[in-house]
Amino acid sequence: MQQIYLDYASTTPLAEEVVAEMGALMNNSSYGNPSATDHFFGKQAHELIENARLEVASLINSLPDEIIWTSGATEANNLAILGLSRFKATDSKRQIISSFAEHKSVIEPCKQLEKEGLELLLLSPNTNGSIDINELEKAISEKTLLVSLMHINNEIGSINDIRSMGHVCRKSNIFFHVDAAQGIGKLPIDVKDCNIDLMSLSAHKIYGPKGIGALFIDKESVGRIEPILSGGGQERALRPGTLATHQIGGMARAYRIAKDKMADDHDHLMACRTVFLDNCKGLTGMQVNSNPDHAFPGILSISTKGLHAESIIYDMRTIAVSKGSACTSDSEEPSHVLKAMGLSQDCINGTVRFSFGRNTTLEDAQFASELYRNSVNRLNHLRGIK
Amino acid sequence: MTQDSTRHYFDKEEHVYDACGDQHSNYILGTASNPLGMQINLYFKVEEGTITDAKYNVNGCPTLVAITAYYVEKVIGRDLEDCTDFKAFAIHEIIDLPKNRMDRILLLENAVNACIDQKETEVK
Repeated sequence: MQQIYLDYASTTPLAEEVVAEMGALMNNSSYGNPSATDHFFGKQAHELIENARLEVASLINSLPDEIIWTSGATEANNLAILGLSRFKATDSKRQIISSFAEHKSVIEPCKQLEKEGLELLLLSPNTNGSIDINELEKAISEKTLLVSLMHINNEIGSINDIRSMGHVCRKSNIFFHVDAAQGIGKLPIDVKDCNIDLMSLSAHKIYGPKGIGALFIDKESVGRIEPILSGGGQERALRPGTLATHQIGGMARAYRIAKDKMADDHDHLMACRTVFLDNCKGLTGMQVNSNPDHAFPGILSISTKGLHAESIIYDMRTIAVSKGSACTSDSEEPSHVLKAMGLSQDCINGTVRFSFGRNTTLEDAQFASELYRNSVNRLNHLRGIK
Repeated sequence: MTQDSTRHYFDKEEHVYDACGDQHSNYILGTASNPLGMQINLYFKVEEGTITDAKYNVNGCPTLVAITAYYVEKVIGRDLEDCTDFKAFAIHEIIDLPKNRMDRILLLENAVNACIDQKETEVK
């Protein structure tokens, strides 16, 4: 049975060019330790890494030496939030503002800092899943040190207006961190224009390898932060550890492709979403958990009131998607994002996240919507609802 | 083997109660639900102490759907007093029941007990 992958928000397959690039890097003479620049092999690796840094920087309009390699966006979020707060907090600047819609790799470090004595304020998303700029303006005060908000929400695709948020933060002399794990390479981000001080980046959400990411740290506005790891001087001692040359090369290649294809990818995802939704019109109890005019088209979170997402997914069998909520797995909490948006438990239980990608065909989207429709109708029949 | 059975019974619709088509005046109904929003409605037709027909509506995870369909298929033809002997149904041997899903059996038991209570109320 052929499987259709519609879980691109979770991770993406490697682009062919990335596979080729990484394969070549693992086979050539760049295997030297990039820190060992006293010899040819180390120099080769070092040069490759610096070129990659340039590539990543050019996608976000930063300087190359403002990019710090990490193992992924989770580490980048931890480094940004813990590292900045521990280094910059003062008696008068001790508050962190974030939101309930953030990824756990943002919320958990924030909670850790709260335990360490800082003040934490989590904003609730509006019914579209994004943070209102007015709410942010109302929340910030003289004691606010850091605002950490995401660009595109990983569960529902809502988009925060990071440009306006960055402006508000800069005006108030507050550091602004953006978790761009879902947004990078999908929507244009100019860190200078958006007044972003720190930004977390991932590779595997845009057809790059897993296990590599980066943190942008603005040289002028931030400068130094405190490392969360110790044991080496790599990455200006902010992130010690031997750099993974082939991973970094793969990430750079993925970013270059994303830069070239961003507009086409976006149009394609819009078309996939339209096909899917058009085919699901009129389905009993269905609701889309974002405002299509203000959401990333690659992520489609749909709730069917009263049903259980796990059974919908099980019934569709050939479509690889994610539950929008973990509540039926017994051991996990219900989706904190959907909960924060005010969705009822009945809707949260029945939430499925479809996420489209570069390799999704319109036929895939059409087929998936038909399966979804059939599954919803069948499960409604099983529970005695016409 | 058990995962195949889960799929088999999840897909089965033979004994699903059709809210529009089925006449249920001569069926007893037992209902049970849990805080996760899962629900079972069992319909037994009992003649001279024997379950001559059974139907169900179910809403929940695939495991719950499968064990309900399996149970209903197997309970037809049994005496009402035997229908709570869950060991005899060997559900664990047929359906894939992860440890964290054991409570689904309890939900099914609750629905069966509700049916029996209903029957006893009718008799009184």
